[in-house]
Amino acid sequence: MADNLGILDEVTNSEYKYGFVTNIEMDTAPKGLNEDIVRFISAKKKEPEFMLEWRLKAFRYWLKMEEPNWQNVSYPKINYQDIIFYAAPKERKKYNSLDEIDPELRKTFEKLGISLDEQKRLSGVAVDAVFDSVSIATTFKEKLHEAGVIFCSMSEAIETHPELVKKYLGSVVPYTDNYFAALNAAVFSDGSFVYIPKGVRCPMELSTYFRINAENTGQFERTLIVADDSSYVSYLEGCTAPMRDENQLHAAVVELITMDHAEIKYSTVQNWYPGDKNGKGGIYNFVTKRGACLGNHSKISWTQVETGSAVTWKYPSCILKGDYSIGEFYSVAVTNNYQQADTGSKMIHLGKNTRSKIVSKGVSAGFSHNSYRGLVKVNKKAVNARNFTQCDSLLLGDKCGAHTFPYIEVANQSAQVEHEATTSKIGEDQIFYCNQRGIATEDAVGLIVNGYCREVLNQLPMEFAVEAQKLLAVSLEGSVG
Amino acid sequence: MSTVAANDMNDFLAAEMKHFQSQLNGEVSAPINCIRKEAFDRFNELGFPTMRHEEWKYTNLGQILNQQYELARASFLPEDFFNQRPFADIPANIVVFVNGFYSTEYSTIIDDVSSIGIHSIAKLRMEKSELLTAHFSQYAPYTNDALTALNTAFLLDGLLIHVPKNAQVKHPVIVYHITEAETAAPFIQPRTILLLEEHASVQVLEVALSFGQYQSFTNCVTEVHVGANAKLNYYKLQHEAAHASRVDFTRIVQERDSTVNTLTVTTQGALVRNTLQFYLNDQNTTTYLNGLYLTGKDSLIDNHTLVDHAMPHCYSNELYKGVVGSNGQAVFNGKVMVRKDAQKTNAYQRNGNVLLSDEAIVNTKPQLEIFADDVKCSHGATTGQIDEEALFYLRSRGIGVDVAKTLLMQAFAAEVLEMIDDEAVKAGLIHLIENRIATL
Repeated sequence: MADNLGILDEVTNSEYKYGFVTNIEMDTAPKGLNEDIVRFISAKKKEPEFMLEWRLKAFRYWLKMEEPNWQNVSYPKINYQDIIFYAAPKERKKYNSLDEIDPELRKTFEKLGISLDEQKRLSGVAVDAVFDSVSIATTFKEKLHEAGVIFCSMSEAIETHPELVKKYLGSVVPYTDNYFAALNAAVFSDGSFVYIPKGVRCPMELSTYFRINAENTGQFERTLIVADDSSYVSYLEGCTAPMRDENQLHAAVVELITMDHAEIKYSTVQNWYPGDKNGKGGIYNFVTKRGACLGNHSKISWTQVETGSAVTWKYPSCILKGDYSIGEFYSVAVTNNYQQADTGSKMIHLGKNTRSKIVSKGVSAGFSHNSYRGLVKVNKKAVNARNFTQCDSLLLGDKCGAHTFPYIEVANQSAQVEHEATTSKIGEDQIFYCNQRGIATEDAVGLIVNGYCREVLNQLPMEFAVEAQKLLAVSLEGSVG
Repeated sequence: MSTVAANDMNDFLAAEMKHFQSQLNGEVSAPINCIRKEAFDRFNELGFPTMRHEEWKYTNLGQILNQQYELARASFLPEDFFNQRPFADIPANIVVFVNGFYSTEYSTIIDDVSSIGIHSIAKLRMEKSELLTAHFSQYAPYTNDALTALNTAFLLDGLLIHVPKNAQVKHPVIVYHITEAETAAPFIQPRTILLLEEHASVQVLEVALSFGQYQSFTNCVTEVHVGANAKLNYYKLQHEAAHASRVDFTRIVQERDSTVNTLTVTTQGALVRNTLQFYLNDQNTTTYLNGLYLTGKDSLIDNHTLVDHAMPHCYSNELYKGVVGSNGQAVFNGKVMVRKDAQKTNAYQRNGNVLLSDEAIVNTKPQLEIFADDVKCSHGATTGQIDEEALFYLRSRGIGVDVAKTLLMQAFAAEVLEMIDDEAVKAGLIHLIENRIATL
């Protein structure tokens, strides 16, 4: 840390020399991180005073923290002074037709069954007038506006609804929470903001996909979803299509808040670049996701399908504060080659009659390591709390690893907490059965893995689930035989 | 004899170590003393574990280290107390330790010396025994465990049982570890070494008892080597007073085709921490780990187990159960490690807890770390309360609530004791546990 501070001083001083503060017009911040960068980002986004204050507090706190090392993943040390923390959205290279795209990428698209138009959009081919994503998004916006739903980018929300942002931002994941949450609070560039008013059932599945301006929200994304009394929203994050991204470190924060009788369903499909076959490159996905069931009878449900990233390290959690509130976590984590995943969930039971369920399915292949780490905590006052946890691991090959670290802390006699875990491999008889019926071994593995993950995939919205199934098969390509 | 002030346990130990070394006479340059000194250096480097250590996350050793202790000396044992001991009516080889020192007065060996060698470590030290030098500190490494290092550094007395090749010991060995805390608060550090050669078989039952109104702190280390095709039944009953504390470290190394059954029953204690580690050194071993903890008022019972599958074709099965009442705290951490080459491993683990009060706390962490693919591993953990329906069933047949509850808990606990082969030992344990459950 002392070294870092030294570098920090150097950088700070040198930047003053060039009159950095006046240079607000530029689009990209210089490399490195210091208070001026934080001020730069805040100014660039024309944020009110309270946001800047908050960012600076987070930054100062971050300086005092040390990078955690308890996780069961390893990666080279990140040099925070070598990262550009703010860059305005870059124009992507435009292609005239799909033929110009990398054939490898096209092959993957086809396997995933993505429509031609969508393929074009994802790979940056100029889209014709029939399928104009902007106009579709506009139609959706009108519909949402009618219902009273606020769905916009975080920067827009700070401008138009500062009172809501001020009230809820950082209330579930304070900047003091962990190293990456502090870093995110200091330098986050953008993200999504959703507010569902009382009694409204959001008329459609919300997705970053439909939000204008969603492109290039950057590596430090911040999402805040607030569901007021008796409201419902289902939110999709990510995409099944492979994402190539220049940024190596992704430290996003997602906060969910539900009031009385409200429900949020949050689904993630993550398929970022996992690095090549030898484990070179790939994204570090260090995300803090947490939901607070503040109201009685409220519900938060996390569903995730994690197939990408070189290192995935996240624990979507629920704080069950309201009486009768429910927390759910469904996860499929697939690791292949040299990927590493340390993921799981935390369920903190505070209110009476709270219930939670964790279903985690890990699949490891190649040289990868897949860990489940979870905490179920029943507080003294959480009368009649109920939890069921199931975490299964499937191993494909003898060079990979599967690990489970479940923590169960119970301080109330009326609680019922159950945990079960199994580790196994695909049976030779199962493969043989498929082979016998003319199914090639690779397809058979895909089939069996899909069956194994079914319980989780069923939780995904329909069209997503179909894509996710194909994605599993693609991710495990080359892991057998 | 010096005593300690609140938080300078370390100074106390350093002074004691100096004193201890000055009394060794001819043994100073013996190989065993070199190990002692190295272990003490290692202890000083490591220091006592705090709650910041992952392995001690839920167990605060500070509360027992803050007491004043005296390093235990050979002490007395009233005959009345001895006569009332549990399992008194079972014909067995009886070995008695009072405050960690071998008692020739009370110990009686009935089996032939050709089938079993039972030795006091103090005596072996005097005789400069090859057996002791060859095996002491060979199976329980102290490099990562401060308390094991401390025990190793202060080695004075203890028990070494040696079962030679092909010997089947006829009677069980019952080892009574009796803590006398009537005149002062003792700090006791016994060591047990169990050596089973090829094809040997023995049943060892360890019973910890205590009397006296002072606190006590026992830091014991057991190292076990089970030879090829040997069979060991190793049962521990920790039945000390409610104000007694104990840290127990046991490491068992198993060779090819061997079988080990362990059972750890803890009935009470201010703080009891059991670390039980298995290292499966060769193929085709069988291991059963069973445990039962009854945690009552002001009591914390912590069980940390590790089964390290390093070789293929091994089987392990673990069942730990606990009843936690009053403001008791129970900690369970079961780790199963399956290393890269340990294919065809079968490893099972189960932990069940019943909570009887809102003040009671259970922290459990069943942990699997698997690096091989052709394995069957599972674990399960439950925390709950007495089944309402079962309770109703009993009450509808005219059984009062309290009796019905006790019955159900006894049944819950009995599953753990099922695996004991020796009917007399089993009956004795069941009797003792049933009485204890009724008081929870």
